[in-house]
Amino acid sequence: MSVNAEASNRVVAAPASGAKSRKKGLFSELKRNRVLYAMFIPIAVYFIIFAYIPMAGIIMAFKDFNYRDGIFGSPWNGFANFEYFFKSGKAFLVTRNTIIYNVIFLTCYTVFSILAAVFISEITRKWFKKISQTMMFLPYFISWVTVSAFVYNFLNYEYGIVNKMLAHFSIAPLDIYSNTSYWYFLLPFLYVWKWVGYGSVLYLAAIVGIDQEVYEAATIDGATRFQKITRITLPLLKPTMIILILLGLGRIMRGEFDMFYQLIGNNGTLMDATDIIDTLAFRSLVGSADFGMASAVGVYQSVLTLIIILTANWLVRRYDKDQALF
Amino acid sequence: MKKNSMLLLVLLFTMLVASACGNNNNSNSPNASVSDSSNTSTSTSKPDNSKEVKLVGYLLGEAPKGMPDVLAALNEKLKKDINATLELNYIGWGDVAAKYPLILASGEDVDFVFAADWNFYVSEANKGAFMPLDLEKMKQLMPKYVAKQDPAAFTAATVNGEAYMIPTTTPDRKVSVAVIRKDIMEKVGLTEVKSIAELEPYFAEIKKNYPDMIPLNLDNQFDLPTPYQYLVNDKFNYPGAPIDSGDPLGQGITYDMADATGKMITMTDEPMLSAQKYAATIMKDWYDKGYVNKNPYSNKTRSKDNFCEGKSGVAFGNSIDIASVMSSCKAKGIDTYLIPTLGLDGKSGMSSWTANGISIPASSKNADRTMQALDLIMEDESYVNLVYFGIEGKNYSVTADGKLGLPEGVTSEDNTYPPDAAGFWFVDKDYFKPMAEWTDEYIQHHDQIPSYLTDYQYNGFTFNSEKVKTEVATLKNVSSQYASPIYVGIVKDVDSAFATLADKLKAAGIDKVKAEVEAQASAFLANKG
Amino acid sequence: MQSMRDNNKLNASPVFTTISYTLVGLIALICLIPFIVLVAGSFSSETSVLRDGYWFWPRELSLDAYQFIFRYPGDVLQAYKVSLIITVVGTAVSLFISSMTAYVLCRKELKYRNGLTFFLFFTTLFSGGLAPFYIWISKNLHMQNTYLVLILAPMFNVMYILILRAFIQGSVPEPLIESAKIDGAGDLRIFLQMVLPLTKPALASIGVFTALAYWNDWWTAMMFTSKESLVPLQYLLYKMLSSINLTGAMAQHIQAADQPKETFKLAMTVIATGPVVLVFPFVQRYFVSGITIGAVKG
Repeated sequence: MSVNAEASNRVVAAPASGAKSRKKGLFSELKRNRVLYAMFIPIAVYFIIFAYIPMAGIIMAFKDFNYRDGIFGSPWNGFANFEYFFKSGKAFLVTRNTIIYNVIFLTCYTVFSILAAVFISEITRKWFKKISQTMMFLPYFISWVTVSAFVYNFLNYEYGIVNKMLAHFSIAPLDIYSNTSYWYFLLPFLYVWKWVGYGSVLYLAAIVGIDQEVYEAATIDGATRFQKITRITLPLLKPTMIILILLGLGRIMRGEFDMFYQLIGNNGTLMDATDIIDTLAFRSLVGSADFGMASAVGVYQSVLTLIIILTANWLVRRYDKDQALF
Repeated sequence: MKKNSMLLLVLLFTMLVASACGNNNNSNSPNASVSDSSNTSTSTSKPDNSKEVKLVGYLLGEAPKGMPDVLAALNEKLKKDINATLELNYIGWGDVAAKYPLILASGEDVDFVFAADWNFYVSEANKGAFMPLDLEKMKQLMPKYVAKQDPAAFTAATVNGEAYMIPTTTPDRKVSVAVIRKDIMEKVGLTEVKSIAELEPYFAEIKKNYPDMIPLNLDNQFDLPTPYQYLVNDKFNYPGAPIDSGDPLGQGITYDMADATGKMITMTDEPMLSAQKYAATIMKDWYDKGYVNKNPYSNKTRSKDNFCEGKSGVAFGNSIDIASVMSSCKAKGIDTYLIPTLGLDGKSGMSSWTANGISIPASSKNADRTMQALDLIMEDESYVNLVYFGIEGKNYSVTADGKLGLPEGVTSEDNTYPPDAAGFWFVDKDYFKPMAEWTDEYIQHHDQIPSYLTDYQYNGFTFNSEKVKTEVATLKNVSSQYASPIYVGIVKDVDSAFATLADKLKAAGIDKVKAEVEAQASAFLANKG
Repeated sequence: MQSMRDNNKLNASPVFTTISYTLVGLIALICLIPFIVLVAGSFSSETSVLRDGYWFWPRELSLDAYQFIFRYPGDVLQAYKVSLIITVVGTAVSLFISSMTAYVLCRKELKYRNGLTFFLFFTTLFSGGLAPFYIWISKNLHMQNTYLVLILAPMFNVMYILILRAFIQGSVPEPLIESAKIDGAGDLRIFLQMVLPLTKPALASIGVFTALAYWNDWWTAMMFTSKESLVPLQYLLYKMLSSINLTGAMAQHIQAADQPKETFKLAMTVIATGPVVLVFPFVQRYFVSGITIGAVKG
């Protein structure tokens, strides 16, 4: 424990040196840390070329794009590209759904990933550890199209395996695809199922990254395994958890389009409960190839995400400066 | 975001094809057929082909394995005839929605590209992707084509007063069909079926004695609205998809194909409303009786794909794609019966010319030579056979009775250049010979198709949704939520479902769309004379 | 490290151990079962899948789907090769630069580090969208049909850089760096000799994710290549799948109904996943055994 405590003490002291350099301005800062800035150059160049320059195209959301005039020459049309989304009368509903589903997903994903990682790390038999972890990774490879085929095979009304079994015990068949309540459980379940192996790898890496001397010291002090988890492992996972949650919030307006589209599709009976921003946009723009309208929803999502992430980051900053994203 | 918007676009493709099969949909505005602006034609008689050029083209699908050989043969002919060679690129089926508009938007060096009304033709033309065509020039450079083509085809290809597409001279000859099993028909004493509305006893028999089969086992895209549409057709001749969006799942503006006044109505207006209610009541009855699968929205297997496996009582499709289903059922020992879906007058509207064609991108530098090449590829028999069926003796052979078969030792699986696969669907299909493997039942249907097809008032009318694209998007969205349960028969009460639908459509701006459709439609009729 | 494992065994509690094994075993099983169904399905005949659905073992053994994929074995092998090259080169470069960036971003003496972080993070929120990206890459940079675009376009994920930053903050103690600096070590050397070894588990996990992203990326190839020699495995499979599904719509002449459709989807997952499952255990050792800072200090 001592090493980490020491580390965080230093962290508090660090900004002092930053304050000193502020007086000397940009040039001396660049000169003083020239090696560090030089190490940042490759990534900066990459993102300028592959992200910032094409980002200028975002103005398409406010333009009536045509090929003759190109992206910059096409006439402006204000917010006309946004209209179809807000006029649908469902803008609020889908925004709310998107946020709610993502919050549920993020929570379940975090809890189960941590649980899985902690328990995997407790397993001493290497072969069991390796094999079980590999197995948890398998769902990641099964695309949502295939998942949806399986789910249909398993749950459909006429010849789904579940209903066949129920019929065996003379229980009335379930009509899962016309009933929203099942999906509030099914969707998070499938989400966790698909991503738990992926998420647990990160948390496991964090656990493994904890200095083993800390555990040894605790063992000498007579701590039980349970105590070691609650007093050492979990607190030390907190920074990883916070960063992963913050990054998860960065995707809160998007959400697993493929999952909703493949599993639910255009199911009118489930729609109010399962419609998210991406599915609404998809349904409305199917077959029209309108770049402006497609990027308009993107802009809406980006702006909302920016607000959410800045707020969350600000909150984290107030609580602990070092764990904030920026 | 990058990935997300792509996914979105990429997934569009499945829907696209669904609408492609749907009907002769949609769009556009009238006016002059082909512009006779004479700014270009400098050469008067014979085109100057002294400089060799390479023409770059984009088609849809996948280059067949045998393409290099066929292309070599094709280039040899082209080099000799017009001193040009081709470079062919393919946009994969899964990539069309994402890549097709981008290739045009980026202004790459492309000389010709596949174009179709179901594949963004109108919206791309609106954005200035294609070069306007000049009829005078075409007469000179594409003599065979112009001689064969119906002038109405150019009207059909017109967007904002200019034609941007060289449509096929032979629109697809197809009607929507339903295929059922002869053995079950005989059991319930059905001998002739004109409409699927008569299939009630057939369904009841399946429900009772075939536990693994679902009478109407619908998938979530193509089949979902299909039986409903067939039923509507019993009462009201309409083009199958609303004219504004062309989406077979959508509700919007339509017209009575038999009505000489050409009046446009919304789909919740009479007499369409009664026809819809008639169909909806039957579907609800069937759904309640368990004739329809309960969850079509999540089923991705089309009925025509599991019909021969005995999972589905009816296979839905059209004259073209049903051929292989009938052949493979026969191989499994199942005899089939084909029901063409015709209107009240026993006719079906012919397919539009613009469902298959070629456009020249605005960025092309070799438009003249491209037109000459296309004239040969589309209308010269030796070229047509080469690009469509490959090399004779290697990819196909002609049987003694004039049918197309495979050469000795080649099976349909290892044929390196299977027919239909190379993306040349716009060539003159009058040169095609019948296939040796077609079933008798199918050949009979195939021969009858021309007698079913009829011209109609709005044939070639394409709606340009540019001015009302917000409303069209909202209508699509409303339809998938409030209309699709009606198609399947899930609704609790038919009348109230239509009342809700009508309200939602009104709120989505259907009246504005209707006004725009009416304006373009009357201009189209006036122009047609 | 050896002592650590012994210690853990010393005060092992049987109840706790049982819970761990059961729980992990259970989750693993839930994850495994669908995959077994998938593999079984891929070895079934198309007819039996359409008729009887999926099951835990093939009800009618058939290799049709695999035969279909390997109709032209040269194409598949070439695609494996392309995927392999992209994945190996891309992951190596990406991992190195990402971790270097992460190191820079957690140096407290850097006045603008928050600004730099935001510079990176902003790109995850806003993007110009598809069309500008496509036009810029293919028309202005002329990168289509090169290995370069396949490697560069999916190269960096800002999330991973920030995760690496958090890991470095968590597992490389500040005093260690400070003392190395006092000893006269430059930042590059500290990064190479201290940070990299100490963040091995994190590098391994981010490496796995990056490699998977490359391996599964069909999108870049779809957008920017038209040459057969540059088609990676996933894109090849994706192309096969979409052509099976859609050529039927245009086909009056093909016997399309006999192509394996459902089983193809399953077989393609097996083909694409197989190599990854084989390689994964080699990376796993970095998650299995821990890190002792003392080892690097010396």
